[in-house]
Amino acid sequence: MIFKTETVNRKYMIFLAFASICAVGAVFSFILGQASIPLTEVFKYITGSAGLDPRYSAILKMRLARMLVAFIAGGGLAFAGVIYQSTLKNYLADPFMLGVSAGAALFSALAISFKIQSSAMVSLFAFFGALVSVGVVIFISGFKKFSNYNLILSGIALNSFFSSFLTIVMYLSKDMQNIFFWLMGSLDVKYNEQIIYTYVLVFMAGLYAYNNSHILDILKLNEKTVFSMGIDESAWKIKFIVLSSVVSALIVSQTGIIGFVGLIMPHAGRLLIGDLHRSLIPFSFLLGGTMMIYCDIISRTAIDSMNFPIGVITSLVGAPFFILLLSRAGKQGGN
Amino acid sequence: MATDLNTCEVFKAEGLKYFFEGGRECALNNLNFSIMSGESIAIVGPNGAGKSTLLNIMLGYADKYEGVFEFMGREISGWKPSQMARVRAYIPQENETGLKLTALEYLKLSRGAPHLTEKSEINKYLELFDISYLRDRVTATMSGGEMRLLQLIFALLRNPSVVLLDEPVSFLDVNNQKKFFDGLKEISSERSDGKGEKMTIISILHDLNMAAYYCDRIMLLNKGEIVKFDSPLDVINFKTLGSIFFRESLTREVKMKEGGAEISAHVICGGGAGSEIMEALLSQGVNVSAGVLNIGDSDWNFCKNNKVAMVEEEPFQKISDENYIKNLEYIKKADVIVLCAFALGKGNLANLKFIEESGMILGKKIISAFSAHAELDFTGGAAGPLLKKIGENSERFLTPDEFKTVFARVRDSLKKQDRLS
Repeated sequence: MIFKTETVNRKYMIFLAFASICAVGAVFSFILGQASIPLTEVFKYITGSAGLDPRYSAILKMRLARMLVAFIAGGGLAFAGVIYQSTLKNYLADPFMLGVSAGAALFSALAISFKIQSSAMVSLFAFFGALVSVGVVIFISGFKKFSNYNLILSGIALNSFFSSFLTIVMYLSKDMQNIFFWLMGSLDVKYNEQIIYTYVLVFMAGLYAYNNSHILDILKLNEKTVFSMGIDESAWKIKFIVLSSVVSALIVSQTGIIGFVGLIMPHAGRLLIGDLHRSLIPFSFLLGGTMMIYCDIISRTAIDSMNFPIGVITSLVGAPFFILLLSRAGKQGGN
Repeated sequence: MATDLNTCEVFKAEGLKYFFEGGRECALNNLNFSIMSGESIAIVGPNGAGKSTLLNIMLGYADKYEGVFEFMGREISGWKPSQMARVRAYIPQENETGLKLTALEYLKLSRGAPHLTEKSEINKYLELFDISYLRDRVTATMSGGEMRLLQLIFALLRNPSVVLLDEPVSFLDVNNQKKFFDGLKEISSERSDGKGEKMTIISILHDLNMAAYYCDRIMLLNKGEIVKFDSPLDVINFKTLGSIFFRESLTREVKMKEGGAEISAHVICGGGAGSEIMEALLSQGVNVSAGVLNIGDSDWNFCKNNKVAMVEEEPFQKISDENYIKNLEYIKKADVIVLCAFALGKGNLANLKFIEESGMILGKKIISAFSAHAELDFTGGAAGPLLKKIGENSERFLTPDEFKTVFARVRDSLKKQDRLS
């Protein structure tokens, strides 16, 4: 490795490096699009100095809003992924494992089929659908002493049950295409009040998890060791699962289902910065957000006058990046 | 111990019973005992004796027991886990796997939140155990022994009055076993200098030598019942252990003729398993030698007292190559090789290796108490092939009485051979 000195220093360096990559992505995100905007105009907008063309101003404002959505969605999903994986002690877990996506998809599809026009209403439906399904999963698994195994199995059962339901709804509905677009995920969020709430709530959830990050570390210890330390494993597990489910439900209800980020970014975070949650949580957030900003740029510019579905891009870009990381980690002897 | 005014009962069991979940099968049956503060206790017994169940109850983890079980004067089910966490620590049987933190990051978690533990304190412990080099290494890359010592430090950092250890050293080599317990003892006595209170240490152990050396009392469990709970000397002897680890004795009267000095026997034993056998041989005038025995072992004591020639090894040390060869020389001289059933660890495994020296044992008679007693094998399977070979080439005995019968038969056949040649 390049940085072999103090672990802490190394972590700061990596953090700084990715923060810069994110900033560069943000600038590109301002510049690129259907209409290119000169860099000088972008700087005028960022610094708030006078002399900015009002036409540019309007476009840049839209791009900023979209960028924020991208960052919070990517970061939030990566964050939720970290917490799911750590509490469930399962590295294949992603934020959708306990039914968030299936619930959101089914309920929004129902909303669309019932001709609900307002996108805010559809989002609200999706949000509650997500929470209902996670609630059901926790409730079912609670019947037989709360365990990761039961949780995951209940999640799988509910996911497939809701998916079949969704297929029926889509089959019977006349708005199949609308539902389909919703499912593919999109960052075209109207700049409304809902998204502000999403920012605030995701930020608060992140802060709470950060302050209790040592508990996430402890939960990875032997079950009986955790007990002997006087820490109520089940209570914390429920807390963390509810927390990350609310975060991913908020995001999914706004953007639709964006896969891959929540599964892969936590792994990338671990490979780059280690398992300590105090650094892993903020870093994964940064990593997920950065990835989403770049994916958004690609989705807006890859094909002229067309927005590619963001969910497709995340997998298309993320998978090779992740394979690269994995192979490098393998060469270092699994350090 | 009990004379100290500060001491109190840490654990008290009255009619303690535990049933496995759902089943009628009894894991612990009517235990009555008390453990005073500052005591060091070893729990020993064959697999399925109920050792782990008892430790789980002491931990407060298994709470569906019957009878009375008090922790520091209060029924243990009335304790909150967070209250107990302030006074007792625990090390599970398993290593912490899947943890990718540095040693420092891991140890900082010991008190529940990183800011509660000072770096200097951690460094002090790392130095004490001589593992400062591990500080910034990731736990997943460490050896089992290194991880075990870190787990001990993790528990000690919490300043417990009571430490519960579930087979803490079973998978460690002899050096690390010693490091583990010496360190634990040192911290415990350091505490007693400061606060006048020693730690109460309760551990499940497989190595009886270890138990005898480091513990004040040994609780011998079998089939959910306490067979004996007493000082090591009273627990570790052939009669007590024999009743657990061997089948019921076949009481058969054997009358031996006096005189037999023309025959010599080499006894391979340890932990008290050989004393009665050697006594029987000596009383018949057989020329007895023994080895390899750790100094301080109860068989070693027997040999010292009865002036039996033996190969000695430093206490708790692995058998050295030099001593192994010395032992072979005794084997070369002997007509009969007797293998008693002692607990096999990595340290004394070399005692079985003679079976591979086929030239050395040609024409010699081997009498062995091993082969059926896999429960005495704590080498993680390394002894398996040796035991098999011994089983194929030896005559079996289980009890001292049975040994006498077998030995008489062997001696007669040796005499016949002599007459023929």
